[in-house]
Amino acid sequence: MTRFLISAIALFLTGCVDLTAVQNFASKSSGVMTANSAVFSGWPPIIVTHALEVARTPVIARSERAADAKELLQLANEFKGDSAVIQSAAGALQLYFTTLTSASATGVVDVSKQAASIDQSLVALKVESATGAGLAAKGSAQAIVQLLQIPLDLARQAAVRDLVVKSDKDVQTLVAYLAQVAKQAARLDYVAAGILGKYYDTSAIDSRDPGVQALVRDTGWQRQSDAQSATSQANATASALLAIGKDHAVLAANAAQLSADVVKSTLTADAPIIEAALKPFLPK
Amino acid sequence: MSGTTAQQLSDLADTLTASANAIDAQVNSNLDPLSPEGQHLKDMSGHIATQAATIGMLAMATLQNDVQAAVTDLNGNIKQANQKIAQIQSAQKLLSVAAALLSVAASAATRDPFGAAENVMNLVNMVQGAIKNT
Repeated sequence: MTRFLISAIALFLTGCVDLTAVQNFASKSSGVMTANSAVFSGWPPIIVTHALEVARTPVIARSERAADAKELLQLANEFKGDSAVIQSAAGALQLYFTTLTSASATGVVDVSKQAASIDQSLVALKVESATGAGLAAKGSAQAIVQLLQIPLDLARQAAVRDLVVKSDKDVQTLVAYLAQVAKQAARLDYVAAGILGKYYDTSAIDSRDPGVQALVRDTGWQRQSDAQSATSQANATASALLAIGKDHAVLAANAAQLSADVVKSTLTADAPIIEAALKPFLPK
Repeated sequence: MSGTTAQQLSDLADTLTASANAIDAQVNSNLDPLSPEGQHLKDMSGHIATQAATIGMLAMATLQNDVQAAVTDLNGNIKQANQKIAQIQSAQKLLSVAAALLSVAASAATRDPFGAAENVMNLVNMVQGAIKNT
């Protein structure tokens, strides 16, 4: 029986798999979706709205950017028309990573105090003793209660493995799409910033007052800076989404060994890319 | 564009955007942006950026065809996973409650102390039974 208990404890120790890396990855990925949920559902940003407003002015209508402004209006309408699909994709992906976080966090319940209490009672009853063997050995109840946790831990691993393998194709489709959405939002931002810039530039050129000219130019630079920040953050979000897809593919390929070194090292290496997208990519 | 993948379209849009960025950076660094030359180059970069956005929209449209099916599949997988998680959590609660009950039972037992140990083994079956469908 002693051999049985030793084997049981050994099985328990080998049966438990550390899914902390998977849990952290899933949690951060869910965080990226949460941080950008307003962006994925809040199109168009103010910069595009302003660009479309100035597009109607004679300054732009007579300029070299007239065709670009017309194209921006069409593209913005198309993008807005896709908002239901975008929200649906972002919502499903967020729910997925929340579920994966929960599944990988369903750790082994700590019953050590209860098990110790059982052993204490059994020793008091002289069922267990320091010289006893098998079930009569001191601490046997604790070992058995730990043994009970093996099937639970195996079930947890199976749930995570099943979810990751079954969902990988869908996750790849959605992250690729949302990465493209983020990039496209940045591209439209850039076009909008260019049209606003043209409006300010032309206004500055047409003004004969150096003071007014300076103020208009300053406003134009500020808008350009805002657009560059938005573009940079949108690209960070796109990169994060692509990294999430890559990491998830590694999880699926190593589903049988989710605590393997290759999984941990890949997730650790990409963590900064994902963390860079934990804030919205467009200005309010 | 027939046969062109979303990735190729996206790459092309990225390349064009990078070109527009590079032109703007050059104008801002080396020219007066309000000079005729500066304005001409900025107009050119604006046209390129617009073309990039138009191509980017095509990339989005190409990918969009598969999105709805993926959302439906994923939601089904999430539902199944949540059911399994709920079963595991129920079994954990059972294990915790059963261990506590056993502690009380062991304390109360006086006549048949080995019965308490047998009860521990019975717990194995209870827990395994509770999670057999997970």
